Amino acid sequence: MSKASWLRLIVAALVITLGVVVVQAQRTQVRVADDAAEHTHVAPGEHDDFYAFLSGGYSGQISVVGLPSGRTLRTIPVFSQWAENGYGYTEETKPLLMTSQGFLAWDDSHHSQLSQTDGVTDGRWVFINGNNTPRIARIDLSTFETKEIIEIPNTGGNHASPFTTENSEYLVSATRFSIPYPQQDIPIADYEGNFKGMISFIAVEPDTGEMSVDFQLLMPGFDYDVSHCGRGPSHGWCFFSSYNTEEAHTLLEVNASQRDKDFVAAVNWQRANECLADGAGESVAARYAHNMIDESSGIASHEMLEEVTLLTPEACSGVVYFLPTPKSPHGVDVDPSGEYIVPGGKLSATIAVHSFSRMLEAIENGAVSGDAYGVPILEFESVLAGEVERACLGPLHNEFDTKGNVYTSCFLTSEIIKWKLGTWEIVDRIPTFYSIGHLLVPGGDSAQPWDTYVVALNKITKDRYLPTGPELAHSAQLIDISGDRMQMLLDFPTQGEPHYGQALPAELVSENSLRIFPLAENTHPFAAKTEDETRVERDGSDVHVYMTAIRSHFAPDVIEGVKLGDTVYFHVTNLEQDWDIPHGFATYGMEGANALIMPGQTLTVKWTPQDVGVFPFYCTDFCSALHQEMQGYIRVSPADSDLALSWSVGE
Amino acid sequence: MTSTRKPLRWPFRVLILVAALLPLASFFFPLWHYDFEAPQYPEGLAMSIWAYKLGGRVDLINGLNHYVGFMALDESEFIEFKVLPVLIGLVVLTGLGVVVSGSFRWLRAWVVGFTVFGVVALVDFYRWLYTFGHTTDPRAIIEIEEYTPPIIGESAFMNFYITAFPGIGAVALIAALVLGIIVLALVWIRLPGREALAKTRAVVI
Repeated sequence: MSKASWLRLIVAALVITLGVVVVQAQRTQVRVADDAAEHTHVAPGEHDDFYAFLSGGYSGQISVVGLPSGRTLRTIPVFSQWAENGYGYTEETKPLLMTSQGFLAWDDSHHSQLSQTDGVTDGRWVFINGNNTPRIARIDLSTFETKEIIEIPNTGGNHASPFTTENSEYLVSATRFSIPYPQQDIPIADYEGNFKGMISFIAVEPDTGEMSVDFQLLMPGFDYDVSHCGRGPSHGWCFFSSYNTEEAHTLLEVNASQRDKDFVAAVNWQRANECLADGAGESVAARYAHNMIDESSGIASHEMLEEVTLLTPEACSGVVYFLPTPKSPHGVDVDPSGEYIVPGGKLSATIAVHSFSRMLEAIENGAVSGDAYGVPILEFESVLAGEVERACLGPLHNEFDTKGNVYTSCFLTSEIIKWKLGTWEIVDRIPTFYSIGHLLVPGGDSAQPWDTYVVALNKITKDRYLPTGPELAHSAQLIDISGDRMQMLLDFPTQGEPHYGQALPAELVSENSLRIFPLAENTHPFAAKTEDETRVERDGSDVHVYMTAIRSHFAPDVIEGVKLGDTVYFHVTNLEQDWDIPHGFATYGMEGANALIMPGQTLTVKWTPQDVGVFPFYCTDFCSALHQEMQGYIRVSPADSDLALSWSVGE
Repeated sequence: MTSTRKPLRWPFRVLILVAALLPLASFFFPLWHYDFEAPQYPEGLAMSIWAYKLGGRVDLINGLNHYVGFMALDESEFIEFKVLPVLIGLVVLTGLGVVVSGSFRWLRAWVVGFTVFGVVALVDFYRWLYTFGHTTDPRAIIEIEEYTPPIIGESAFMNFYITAFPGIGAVALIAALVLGIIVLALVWIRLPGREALAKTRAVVI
């Protein structure tokens, strides 16, 4: 080879190398809006435009985040004890965490769901599922407190929950892990045919929000994953994705991934109601807890319920159909019009969209390709609206805007794709960091989305923030969707593992937010509403302290006559009626956590003294300039002491 | 053919000495690199192939491969990792033999043998890549179209951009072979030693 040829070769190699570098640089370029800071800056003292309610995943809670700032405003404790304010530790709130399996201090919360009226988010309640020991909780958005928790019987893993109908007539629940029905001691290898799925409809009382298990539908033993209910024309139906139609009981990652298509179960709950009215349901034994906080006393009740109404597909023809859906679908979402049912076939690169109107025609025309345990399977082609080809890898969930666009989260390719209903064309993509799970658009799963932002709720964080050791906060990203192209605006860390989240315009909630609990309406039986009512009473070995807290003292703050072996209940009423003046209460050696008592509220801390002596108690919330002086003593005498109970303040 | 009978001149012998020693680099540096790029691997995911082992995050790559049913990479299943070091050692030793003997025939045999070795190695490499991409577990979670990873250059597969390129080890081997071929060519076209050396300098530098 000549010198010139060699030179040419070397130059060519350099050009190719450079080209590769340039291509790589382009590929990893992140599209951040030039004016991102302007979009997300909420000036000091100003408020965010939206509340977002993000599930806490394995924290069991809900976190409230302001958008567009991404600031965490508050954690609402739901399924897990919360030492910060004593939720699940105080005597008033402990009953909320009672279940058929006893007191449970933790659960796994996945999907927050805002209540709706006429298909539009109304800002009254947010509901959330407990996945592990199946439950649904209702949080009142005037106080941001968990008001009610109902257990779902006959269910293993309440994942497809608590998705709402368009007037929150119902919330749904479905078993992610099918289990024997009725529960029994059988070999696990006998899964096929013996394990059952259960889809439950939880009725919500329209005025009070009180929940009850209206009926349960016994289903084939698949894994029911996620759900959404119809609206508009499809009101009256709810749709459930399913995987493991292979009915595998071990190594599901392989054994439940064999079929090209699994199912979306379309359940006609209005038809179910007709059947139930005709007496097709059966009342069966069940054991499940129903716990609710009484509005005026703030005390949670706990009751065990003993029966539930069961409906089978055989007893009610037309109540459920299977729509073939590629492949191991995860999410299933309904567009704002109610016509399109969009699953996320997580192992398929194509998104196959079902048409509700075509589904009705297929049912009418008997376009059935078979059945699964008696449930008719509709022909794939006959319910298909269209397909998004080469969409992405690992499509999971969809949210919508008002312009007919769908935003799909893609886990494997770590991106959000934007595509059009009807034309099925992809119009934009944006990478997310990293491995997005759910996504949310304010109102994006309702009849009225607000076309402002999409929030990517990512599963992997890695290098997005300053490192904090092996355990990292999950990463969320705010993306502007107001223009033609999506623009990355902001990264923000979240609490626990947000699965789904929902957001709504701030004024729908802020205008109804309570500032205090009116003391006059407090009906707590152990409340002392003035210092004159404070006292200490003995009931056998139980000692009840009727205590008040006001800046900057407790009454009483000197307590004597308690004996070793007694159980002391400090019932502390916060007499303040001013905004944002909580008091906290803690005493030496207490087992649980402090109680953070809001103005007008009464909370009870239980204390079992372990030693003889004099022990301090104090206010844990820096309430005033004399907060450090807000303290008291309780004297514990030997068990055989004759000292009478006495109490005082300022004497 | 004087140059075939007379021993090689010392400048050629020095060049052959360099060519004979260069392959030793492949005991200290990887032969080939595979870089895998995906959004969720900001820290990068890389694998390297050495003469006698696999390097990089083979564990992670095997973990990912099970989704699509690719075979798991296991060093002990590759006879190549036992044979390659021996063959490279042979190249070095026989190369030194050429230097000592100064024989043109030995040089020619060495270059031809080295070339055959290189071609066979590349063919074997490609055969493995093909086998790898065409022997998927029928029960794999995600069904893929048949795919042969690139031997060199870029390729997109699933959520990964894959870049394949030679490492220092392979570059040294290639350089040794190229050097051998150049010396052989220079001797063969019977250029006087001094001029040949000058020409070689120009080429090498």
